[in-house]
Amino acid sequence: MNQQIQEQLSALMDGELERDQTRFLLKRIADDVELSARWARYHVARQALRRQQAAVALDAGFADAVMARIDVEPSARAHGAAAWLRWGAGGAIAASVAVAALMLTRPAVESGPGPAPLVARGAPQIAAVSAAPAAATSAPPPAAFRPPLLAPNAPVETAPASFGTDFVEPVAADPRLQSYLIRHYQAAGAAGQSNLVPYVLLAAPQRETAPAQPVPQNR
Amino acid sequence: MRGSGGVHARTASLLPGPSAGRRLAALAAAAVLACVHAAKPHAEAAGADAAHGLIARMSAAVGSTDYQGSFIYARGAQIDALRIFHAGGPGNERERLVSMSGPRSEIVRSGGAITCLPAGQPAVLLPNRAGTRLLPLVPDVRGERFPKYYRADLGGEDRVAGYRTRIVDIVPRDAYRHGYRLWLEESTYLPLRSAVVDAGRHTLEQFMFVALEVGARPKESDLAPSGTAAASAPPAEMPLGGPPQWRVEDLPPGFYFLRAQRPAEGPTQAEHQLYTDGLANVSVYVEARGERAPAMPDRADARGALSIYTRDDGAWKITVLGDVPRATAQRIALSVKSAAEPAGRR
Repeated sequence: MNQQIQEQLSALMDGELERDQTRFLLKRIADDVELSARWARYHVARQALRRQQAAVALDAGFADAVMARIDVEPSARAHGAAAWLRWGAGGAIAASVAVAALMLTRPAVESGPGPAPLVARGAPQIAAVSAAPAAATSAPPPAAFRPPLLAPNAPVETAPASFGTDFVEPVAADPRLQSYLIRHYQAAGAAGQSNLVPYVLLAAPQRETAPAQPVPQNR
Repeated sequence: MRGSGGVHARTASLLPGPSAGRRLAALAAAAVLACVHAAKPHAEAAGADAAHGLIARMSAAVGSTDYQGSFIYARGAQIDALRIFHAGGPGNERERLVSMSGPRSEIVRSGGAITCLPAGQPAVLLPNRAGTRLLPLVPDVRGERFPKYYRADLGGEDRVAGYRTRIVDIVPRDAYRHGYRLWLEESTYLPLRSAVVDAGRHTLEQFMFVALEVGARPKESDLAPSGTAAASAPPAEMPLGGPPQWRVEDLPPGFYFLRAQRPAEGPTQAEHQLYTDGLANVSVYVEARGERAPAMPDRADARGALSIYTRDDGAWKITVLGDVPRATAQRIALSVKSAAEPAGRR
């Protein structure tokens, strides 16, 4: 496979390929076994990075379907000066490709290689937290229905679920700030600014203290 | 190099207005958000009217609908799971919110009273005169100023907790406030998901139902607090004895003074002022810094949609916080002045 095709494939993934070239490349993907395998691998890799279920298998109508979708979105044509605008145009094409891919493909395997281990790794942690109150008293028979809300209010070791490398330290919130927050929302509520008072913050208090950013003294 | 020079040369010469960009972004979002059908073009005014209509129905639905379900609530890197029970009805609305992750806390609301059972602390009763609901991130857009500083747009369709939803975007017209994206259930208009987004449309804070029964009236036991509150929380603030001692000289556009109080304890010059643009609220706290405490450099902090800006000014500590962008909190904090100081001096 030559360098140019690889670059075009990569550009198509990013929605940065010109319309004519897109049409040409999609035809080639549909006809070329090696190219379609590479296209599929790119998608699997990207989906794995995003932790989504990947399912890429092309059928004969793939290229036509993608082009049809691009055709019904006239503003997807690339025009605009700013970088984000170019992204917007490319994004529409990329989205068209993605939607067509989702519509036309079936899962090649029952469970994708990427997401499954992540789910499996996350599950025991979550189970450990919800099971903690029960463990503090007596273990119910495994099959018995246990209303989780009636579980005793036992202290649990905070193990917040977090994604990726965002590790959340269980740190007590600053009491001064906590008082400010409550007074802020109470005042807002009392003044009729009602619907935004986040009582949810009281039920799920802050468990992290984000490092404060020092501000350059420019006054 | 990706793409071709030809694309870039052509794109630079066309220079469409910002509305074309919005349409493109909306198209991309609509396609991504599982809308198999392409977004139908709406005239902006008609779309805005429809969006306003949906928001009005949502405001009515959150109070009157019976529902129970579980939702996740994410802000910054923290994610929590909560369960909510809501019994609707005029005058006797009742609801209960229970945390399902981390330490066990619960909030119970019965009409105008809130019972708060925080983890590891005694239960307290909080007044709730405004009838504030427990579901988070549901914006109140009844104010007449709303259209001047925000725009309501119809988004696409999506599926949340198994229900079909319509997406409504609340888009700020400048950089001094956050926007919202609401997912409203198609027949009841209940908000099943809501996200606060910044100017770059990045989600700062959001909740989303994962399981929900709409129309299911919760059992009495699910609406009752699991403990009793021994005492009401003492009032943290009291009315000012006179006119405010502090003022904000350089308020961002659209914000206006709402009220001022002072802490029940502390020097008389300490003050809490509240400003609003009708949707976003910002508090200004001026309190004694403590004689021995060394002066600290300014600090900016953000937790989800909340921005906090703190600065020391002589004997006073000025803290500004609210669900606004940092620029708003900073501009307000830097222009807090003693009311005795002549205007215009910075």
